[in-house]
Amino acid sequence: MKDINLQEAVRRREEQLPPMPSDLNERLLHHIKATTVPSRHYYIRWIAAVASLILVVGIGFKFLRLPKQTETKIVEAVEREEQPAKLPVVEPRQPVVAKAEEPLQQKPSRRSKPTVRKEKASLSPSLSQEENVATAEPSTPSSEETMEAFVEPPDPYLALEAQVQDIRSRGERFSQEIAQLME
Amino acid sequence: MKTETDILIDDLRRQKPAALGRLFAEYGPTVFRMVQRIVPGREDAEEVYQDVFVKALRGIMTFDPRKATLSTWLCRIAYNESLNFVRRRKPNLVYMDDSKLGIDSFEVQEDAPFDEEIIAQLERALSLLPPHEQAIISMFYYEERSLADIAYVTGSIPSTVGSRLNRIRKKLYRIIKTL
Repeated sequence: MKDINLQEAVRRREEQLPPMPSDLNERLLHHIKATTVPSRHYYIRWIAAVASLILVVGIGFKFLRLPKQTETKIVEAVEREEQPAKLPVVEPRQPVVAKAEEPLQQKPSRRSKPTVRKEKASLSPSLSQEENVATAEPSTPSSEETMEAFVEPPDPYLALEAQVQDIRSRGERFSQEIAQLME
Repeated sequence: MKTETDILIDDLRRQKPAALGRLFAEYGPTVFRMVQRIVPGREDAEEVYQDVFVKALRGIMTFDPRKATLSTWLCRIAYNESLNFVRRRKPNLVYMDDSKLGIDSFEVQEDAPFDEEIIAQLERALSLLPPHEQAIISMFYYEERSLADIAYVTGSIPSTVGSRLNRIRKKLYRIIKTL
């Protein structure tokens, strides 16, 4: 691609370009010194940037985890409240001796009147030393005694009622506020 | 054995103040010339010149002397910065449509004798070329850079640079035919 005419034309054109200003390099040197950060500070900036990034990420993780922890606690609390209270165990009544007369030879019974066995948590019936196994017919418990023995288990939903009421009242207030804003 | 350029590069990487002065003194004129080919106006050219060296100093740690010389590397930064500057400032510039010149079918006389008239016409035709084509022609015919170096500066490959140079030359002669 040798072309002496084109080469000469390019050379003449290049020589027409104005020369570089004599103070341009000096100005550039001042500009660079004014804007350049020393190398040791350079590393400090990098360390500071990495440290702040770690801090931001750590805070972000904590915030992400918090709702889950709170959620877990709420679920556990609700589960505890929902757990039905254990029904009191009514032990089968042990036959009690109901005697009108006591023969003289016989030792007086330690118990003069029938007693209601106290409520026990265990299901297995156990015999108390104080009770005598009666030979007489077991007496049927009265309705009052049955009522006393049987304690109605607490309603598991009663505990949540307060929360439901709270939510309802908040909802009503919210709808009132919306209505006011719409006006 | 380390050359002076290698020592200069090492000193620049260690941010030695004296290295900056040596860099500007040795390579400043070449860089400024490259910028002037593309950026019109003295003040704009000086601004781009400063930007070129600021960018070069930032990238000196990643400069690989095996890929190109320091001069070629600086010219590449100057070429790209200058083109970016022109595109930012004058995005709507439109250049001559090559397709209407019939360049492909145009034949250029090889080894033509020295002709003052042709030289003068070529000088005028050169001013009509887009800046990046002027830069390529200058790098080849004035700085006598190799096709590989020009390819590195322009981000191309040597064969493409060769065909582009041929095409630009044909374009110049086609222009002077129509003038």
